[in-house]
Amino acid sequence: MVNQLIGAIIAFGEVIKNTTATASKPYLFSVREDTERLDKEKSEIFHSVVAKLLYIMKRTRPYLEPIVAFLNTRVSCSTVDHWNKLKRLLEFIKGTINDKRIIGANGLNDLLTWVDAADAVHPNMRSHTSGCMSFGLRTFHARSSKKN
Amino acid sequence: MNVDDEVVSKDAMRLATGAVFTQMSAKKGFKTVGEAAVAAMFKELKQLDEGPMPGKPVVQPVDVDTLSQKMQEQAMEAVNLIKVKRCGKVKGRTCANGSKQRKYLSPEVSVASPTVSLEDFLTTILIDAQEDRDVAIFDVPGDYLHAKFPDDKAALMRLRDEFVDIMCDVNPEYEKYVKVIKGTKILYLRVLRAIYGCIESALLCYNLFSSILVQMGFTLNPYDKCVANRMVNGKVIVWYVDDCKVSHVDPRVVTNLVNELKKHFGDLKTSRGNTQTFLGISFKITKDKKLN
Repeated sequence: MVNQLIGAIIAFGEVIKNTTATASKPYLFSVREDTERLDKEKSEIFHSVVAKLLYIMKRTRPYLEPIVAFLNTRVSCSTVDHWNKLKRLLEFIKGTINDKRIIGANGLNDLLTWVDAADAVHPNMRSHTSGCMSFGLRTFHARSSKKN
Repeated sequence: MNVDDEVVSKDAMRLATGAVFTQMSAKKGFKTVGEAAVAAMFKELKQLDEGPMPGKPVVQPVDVDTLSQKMQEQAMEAVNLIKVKRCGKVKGRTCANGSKQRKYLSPEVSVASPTVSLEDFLTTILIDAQEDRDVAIFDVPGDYLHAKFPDDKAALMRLRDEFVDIMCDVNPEYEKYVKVIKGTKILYLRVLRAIYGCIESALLCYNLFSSILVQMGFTLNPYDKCVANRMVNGKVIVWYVDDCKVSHVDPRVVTNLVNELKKHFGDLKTSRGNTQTFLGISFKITKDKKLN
């Protein structure tokens, strides 16, 4: 998936110089309505890069799910803030581009499931729900989504 | 470049090559690639005429005079494409423009075809790693073309101009069915098998493959219709359109199954071992039973 990650970085268009230790800041879910909207060209790039990351994230980067899931809800009304959040995510990806996903099991009889919900973290008091499944060594399935 | 030079120099070249050598219409391919494109189309149309296996032709010529006006209108246009692969090989592809079919489809008819979910693929491969199973991945060449169209759902396809000439070169029998209408050479073909592009092709292909597996003693998983299991001390098969993964503790059981499927689908491109690529995901089963 390294090729696809490089493809997403190149498609972003801007030079990604830095690398970051985290994929997002704590205020990821906050939306400032007064921020400038992206022009049509940048909005299309934003949409395209997020869609690329959605494909990659499901296969090799499950820990990016909350960020990509959130950015995916903003593709039709993307702002400069969202652009910067995406840029930070790509900076994190640049720093971890050669990381490989490893999954395993301690046994096939115990399937562990974790589910968590955070209330009113999105605009309009919407909640966010996440969950993952594991056979004991890393997760083989993860899901993170905004509640409607 | 905006990522590590070492990584980019190699991979950016691949991306650039992919962007330059891409798919194009066959007419454009004739102009840009020349004879190689004509040869690729010849090979593709020959496959349609002969079928994936002997005695399984995909198309059959039809006399235009026997077709009603409505049938002529409903006939799908052939879409001919040329692809120049990264290795330089020129490949032809003929499919039908099935978008027309949706207009004539009853609202209650579903043509959706199931496919394996990513979670099920990862779960089964995890089981393979944990139980130290032998894994085989194989591709069914011309997968769709094995599935037969039901007789009551006869579909028609229309070839035009230079593609009619190529088809007549493939099989001179077609010449007597060619008509010139308003200065354009037209050949109507009855589609006998699930050609690429028809909206029900994926479902027909799924039905064929799953029915063969059921005949062979497999049980389809009720939660994922593209995961099947047969108890020869526990054997699982997972498939995604024409890509399949089969695993068993005993490698001989896997070999037997692949040979059994070869009887139905002809030669299969099989790869064995702990390092594999399935649906674009490269994975390696390590000695400590982890999936990398």
